[in-house]
Amino acid sequence: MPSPPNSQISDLNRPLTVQELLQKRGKEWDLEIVTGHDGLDSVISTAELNRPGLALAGYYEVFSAQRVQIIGLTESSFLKSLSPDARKFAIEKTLGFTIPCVIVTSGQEICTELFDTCKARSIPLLRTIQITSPFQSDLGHYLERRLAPSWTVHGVMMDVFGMGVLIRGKSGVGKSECGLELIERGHRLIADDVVVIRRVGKDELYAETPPNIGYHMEIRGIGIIDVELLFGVRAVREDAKLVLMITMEPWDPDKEYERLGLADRYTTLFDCRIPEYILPVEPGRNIAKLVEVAALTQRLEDQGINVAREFDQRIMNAIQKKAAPMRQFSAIDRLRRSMEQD
Amino acid sequence: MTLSKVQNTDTGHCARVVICNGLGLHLRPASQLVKLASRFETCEVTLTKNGQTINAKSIMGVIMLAAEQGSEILIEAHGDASAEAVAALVEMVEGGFGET
Repeated sequence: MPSPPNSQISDLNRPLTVQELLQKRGKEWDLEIVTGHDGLDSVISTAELNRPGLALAGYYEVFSAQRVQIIGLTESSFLKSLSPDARKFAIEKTLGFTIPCVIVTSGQEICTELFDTCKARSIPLLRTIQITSPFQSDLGHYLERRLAPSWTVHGVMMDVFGMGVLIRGKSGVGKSECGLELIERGHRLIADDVVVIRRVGKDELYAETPPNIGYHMEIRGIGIIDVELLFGVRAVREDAKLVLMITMEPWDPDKEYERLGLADRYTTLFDCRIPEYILPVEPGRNIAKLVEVAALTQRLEDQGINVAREFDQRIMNAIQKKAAPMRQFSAIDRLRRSMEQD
Repeated sequence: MTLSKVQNTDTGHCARVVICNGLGLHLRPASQLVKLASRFETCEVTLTKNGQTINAKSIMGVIMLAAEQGSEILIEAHGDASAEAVAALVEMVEGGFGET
């Protein structure tokens, strides 16, 4: 059996070159290479963009040269207003820094000074007819996703009722079996065993199916199975936002497990705060069902409803002989109220 | 053949090896490697290739590395018997998994 091509694996944290940007989005964004073909392998290392207006005007104290430089209508008009000598000076000085690439937007005309400098310094000079602001927004969004740092973690990633749930636990604790049971119950597999986690922005984690592996699972006693082939396309999903972590561990009689749900339960994964439920595993315990209930409980929690706290409030009110509080979001309460009104 | 040297790390041991069998780390050698790593219950073993680190006790993880012939892999172990774990894995990889 030939070894799988290794091109995909390095996708994780692989540097982004201007060449790749052009390949991936060039057509969609009408990007054309004006000059600087020699510099197409230069690396874009940050998702932030820069409008070099102030630098062109002579202020270099704070100049984010490492960012992609966007020359919009403002910069173009300013350059046009300068005398040829002043223009040459401004452009040469600004492009004297190490710059990954310059993009002229709104289909602006490119002055000879800009063309010559980019050519001489092998800085890729691209142009698009797209309007600056929407283009910047698209490019920024793409770069943020593409340059998001990524890691792999050991676990099973599932979409449970549309929520991304990462199931973790030691080898052999039954994560994959739990995943299979969840698939049987109509939920979807994102990844088994190896999960790619990408951090987008400051505090959002996205989980993806790893390259090479796809929706294969290793089940002890059976071997490797292909979930998409066995259960169909409804049983799989490519990626999801990670909103809940389930940690499975063998039942430890000496350990106190959460019985009420009053305490906040969070863990930190790659600097992001993620709700975590620790589920003790015992033979015969239906973990898949517990994962479903945990996901639904977390969804209520995300909507601002903590059942344990509300229950506690009811009990306290009952102790003090007050009426039970109206729960605002409960369908049963709403029904009861409307029936009382009739 | 001289085996790659097992070195000390802060929490255990490590060694760099080069995959030498022609087909690279495909299913059969991957499962051999995972079986061997799993025998060392007292320590955690990881493999790193191109900055990507995976659990050496996970078949899917090892397969994901898609390590071809000639690629370099860092084997790390920490915990009890980490030196033995690394040494055993080095021997297996450099022995070509009994393949050519």
